[in-house]
Amino acid sequence: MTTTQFRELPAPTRPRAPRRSAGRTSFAAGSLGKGVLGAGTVLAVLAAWEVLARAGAFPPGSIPPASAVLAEFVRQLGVPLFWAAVWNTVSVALLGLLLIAVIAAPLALLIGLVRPVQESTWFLMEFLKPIPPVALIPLGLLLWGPSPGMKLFLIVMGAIWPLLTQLIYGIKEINGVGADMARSYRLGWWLTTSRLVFPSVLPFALTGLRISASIAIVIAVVTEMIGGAAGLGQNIVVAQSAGALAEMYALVIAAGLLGLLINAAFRAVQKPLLFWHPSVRQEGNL
Amino acid sequence: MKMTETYPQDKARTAPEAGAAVVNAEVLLQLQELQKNYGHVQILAGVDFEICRGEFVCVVGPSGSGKTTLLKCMAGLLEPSGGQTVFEGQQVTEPPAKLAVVFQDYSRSLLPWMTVWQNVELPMKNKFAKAERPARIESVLEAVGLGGKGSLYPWQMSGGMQQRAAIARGLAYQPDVLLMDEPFAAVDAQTRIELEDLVLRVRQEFDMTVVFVTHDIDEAVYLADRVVVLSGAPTTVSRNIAVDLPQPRNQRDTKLLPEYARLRAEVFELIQSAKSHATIR
Repeated sequence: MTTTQFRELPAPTRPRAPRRSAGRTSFAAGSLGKGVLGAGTVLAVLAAWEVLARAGAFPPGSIPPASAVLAEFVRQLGVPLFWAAVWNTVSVALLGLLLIAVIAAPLALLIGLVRPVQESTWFLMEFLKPIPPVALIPLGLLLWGPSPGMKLFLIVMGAIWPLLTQLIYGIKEINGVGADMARSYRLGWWLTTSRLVFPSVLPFALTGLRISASIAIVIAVVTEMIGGAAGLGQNIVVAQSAGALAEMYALVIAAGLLGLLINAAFRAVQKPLLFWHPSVRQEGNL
Repeated sequence: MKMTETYPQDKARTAPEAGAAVVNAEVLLQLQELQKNYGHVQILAGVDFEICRGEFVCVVGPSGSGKTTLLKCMAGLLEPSGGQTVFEGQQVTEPPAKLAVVFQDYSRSLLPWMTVWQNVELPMKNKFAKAERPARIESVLEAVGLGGKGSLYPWQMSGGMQQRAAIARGLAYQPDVLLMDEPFAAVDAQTRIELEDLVLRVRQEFDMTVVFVTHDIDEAVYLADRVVVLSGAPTTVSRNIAVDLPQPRNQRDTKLLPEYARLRAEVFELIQSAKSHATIR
């Protein structure tokens, strides 16, 4: 976090109101432009897909036309079993995320603050990080069978790294002047933790959580597909083996949208929480 | 407001060893043979001086003379390698409750997630009852020219205003001594002039002892009752210079006095010779 830039602003009587409205209008304007462009691209891709599928450009029995898939997607929205699958996937992913936060926070404190711990764990961490969660599915199956427990285990193993690394960075980034200030004014551990450490680490924590959440969804779907636990991933495999191609693609789209929604939810919390952060207050994106 | 028993206008003190001889001034802060090494590099090689209650002492030294290190040792933020700091008769091992520090880097010492008001209030939380705080915050903000600006966030203000807020935070803490570490090094020249006069004014108003570390010779002579000139690293005190310029000081008139020019030249020469004698590391 570099906070070396200053802006001379006219002194508003109630700073919160002008700041928020300013942030909101610029954000709305920016996302409106982006939204139009993004929607245009999506429509173009769908149109190309439709044309190519109807012209027979894809191998027979591989990709049905976009219209058929979208119609099936809309139909799925009315099917209780679909929502049950979504819930299976999302609930375990979020539970995994919670578990990740509970594990990563104390671990990051330990690694970030205690030098010997950092030095003795870095190799293990660098070794574990690149192991694809899929490779651990056999172990998960042995331990828990095709169950939510296995999913949870794989999610934690695979999705903990972004949050953990971000937290460690965040703890190390707490600025020395701030810490000196806290000590010289004898703030004590509670005020130092709640007013200095927690807000300092928050931007890193939110970024880490957001990335971890996306990965958690991906791992949840993959373990359902390969490990056979209930959820969207399992439904995708079932639909494929039943030859219900439109349904399969509809479920794939649902999985994609799920990731998008979770990401958007985190971004939505990020803005108001980090109103003070240079990236937010200067209209940047975090 | 704490009332000090004496406010010596005549603290013409020429040598650090003269401490015991001065009768009418209560010694507040003593640096005794303060040493600090970073690894094999010696920064402070026995720094020795005293600060009396009510005094405004500027510590000047060439760059690299360990001014910030010295201030941190005084504030209890850094453990000296040898010697000690004594504050109100007690050896300093951690920051004393009656001491406040204004840091050079206001953008980092003020917390951006808090308003100016909340920043000023933060150190008061352990020291003052909740009911006492608002009036006091109001008065210090008024004193530094930030009256009515408490609801702003630091990043909505100019650098000069941010440093005013940091000074207000120090004042609100009601310390016996305010340590200032090159507080105006990062603001523009005109703001610096305003802030210098601000510091002189609040020092009178709040009856404060001030230790002001700076590399700026003009600033040091203009502000101080006494200038402590440091040598280059490894650092010792090269001279204590009493500044007998009339109070209150004035940016135009004080700086026109022959005595001001003479003092300025004296400090300048000391710094220059310290630079040329500095050990090349």
